[in-house]
Amino acid sequence: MILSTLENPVGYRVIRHLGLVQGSTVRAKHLGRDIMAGLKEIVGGELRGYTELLNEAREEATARMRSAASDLGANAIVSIRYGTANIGSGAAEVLAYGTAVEVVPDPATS
Amino acid sequence: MSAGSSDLPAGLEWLGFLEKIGDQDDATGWSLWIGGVVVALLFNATILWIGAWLERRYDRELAAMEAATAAVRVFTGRPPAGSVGLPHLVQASIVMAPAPLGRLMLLIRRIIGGRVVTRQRDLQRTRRLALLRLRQQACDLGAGIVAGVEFCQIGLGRGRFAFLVSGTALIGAQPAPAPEVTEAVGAEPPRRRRELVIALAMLILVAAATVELDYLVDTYLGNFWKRWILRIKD
Repeated sequence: MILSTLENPVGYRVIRHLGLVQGSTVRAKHLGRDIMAGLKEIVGGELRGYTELLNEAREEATARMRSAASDLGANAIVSIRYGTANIGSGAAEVLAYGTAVEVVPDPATS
Repeated sequence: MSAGSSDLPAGLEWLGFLEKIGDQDDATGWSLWIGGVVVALLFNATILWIGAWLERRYDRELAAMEAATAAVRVFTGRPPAGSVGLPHLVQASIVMAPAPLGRLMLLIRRIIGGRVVTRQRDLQRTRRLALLRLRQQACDLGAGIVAGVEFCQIGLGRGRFAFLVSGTALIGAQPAPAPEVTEAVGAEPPRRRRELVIALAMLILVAAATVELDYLVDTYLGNFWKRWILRIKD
C-alpha cells in the first residue's frame, strides 16, 4: 500500500476517493522507565525510553490506519497527518489519519 | 534551654524537637549550614556542567550527521515540478528533556522577562534532530527528496519536548546538486560560557539567600516555637 503525506503521490493518479481513515493508540511505559527518565531529566538530553514509546505508538497507529484503508479496498492513503491528545505525564496518544484512495501508476509523471 | 521535653503534657512529647531549634552551638550550626550550602552548590554546578557538556555533544553530533545527509532535499509541500520517485512514508520521533542551564535561564527570564535563548536553542535542536532522523531514513531508502514534511508536537509530561515528524520520501529522486541543510540556517549559536557564568552567579545568590533565610528562621521562628511550647506547658 502506498502511504504519502502529499495530496497526490508522485508517479500515481488518484482514480477514486474512498474517504477518511484513521488509527490511534494510547501507550505508556512501565514505572522503571519512568524512573530512569526522571533521573535523565536532571541533566537533560534525549529520553530514549519515551522516544521508543512514540515510535511504537506511531507504528501502531499507522498500522491501524492502513488496516482500515485495506478494509475499504484502497491501495493508497494520501494526505497523511499525525495528531495527538495530552493524556498525561508518561503516556501518549498518537492519531494517524489520511484519505484512503485508489491509485493507478501515471506514466506522465513518473 | 528553658525546660526538658519530658515536661510536656502526655501525648505531646513528640513536640520536644521544636525546642531544640537554634539550641546548638552557633559555630557548629553555621559551619554545618555553610558545609551544606557548599555541597548543594557543587552538586548543582556539576549538574549544570554535565548538562552543558551533553548539549555540546549533541551539537557536534548534529553537525557531523547533518553534513552526511545534506544531499537530501526536504520540503513542507509538494516536491519541485519534475521530481520523480517512488513515494514512501517516512517518520521519526524524539523526546528531549531541556538542559538544566535552559531551565535555570527560563526561571531568570520569568522574573525579568525577555527572550529565552537557551529554551529556543533546545527546541530548535530537538526539531533538527527529528528532521535529521527523517533525512537519515531517506538516505537509507535511497531517496533524494522528502516532501510534505509536517511536525506534530506531543504532550508527554511537563517541560519535555516531544515531536513526531513525517513526510513522503521519493525513492530514486535526484539528490540536491549543492547540498545544504536548510533547517540549520539561522539556528541560535551556542553562548554557553556566558550562560554558565550567569547561572553560577544565580546559584551563589540563591545559596547566600539560603544562609540568610536560615539565620532569620533560627532567630525568629526558633523563638516563636519556644514561646509556643512554653504556652502548652503552662
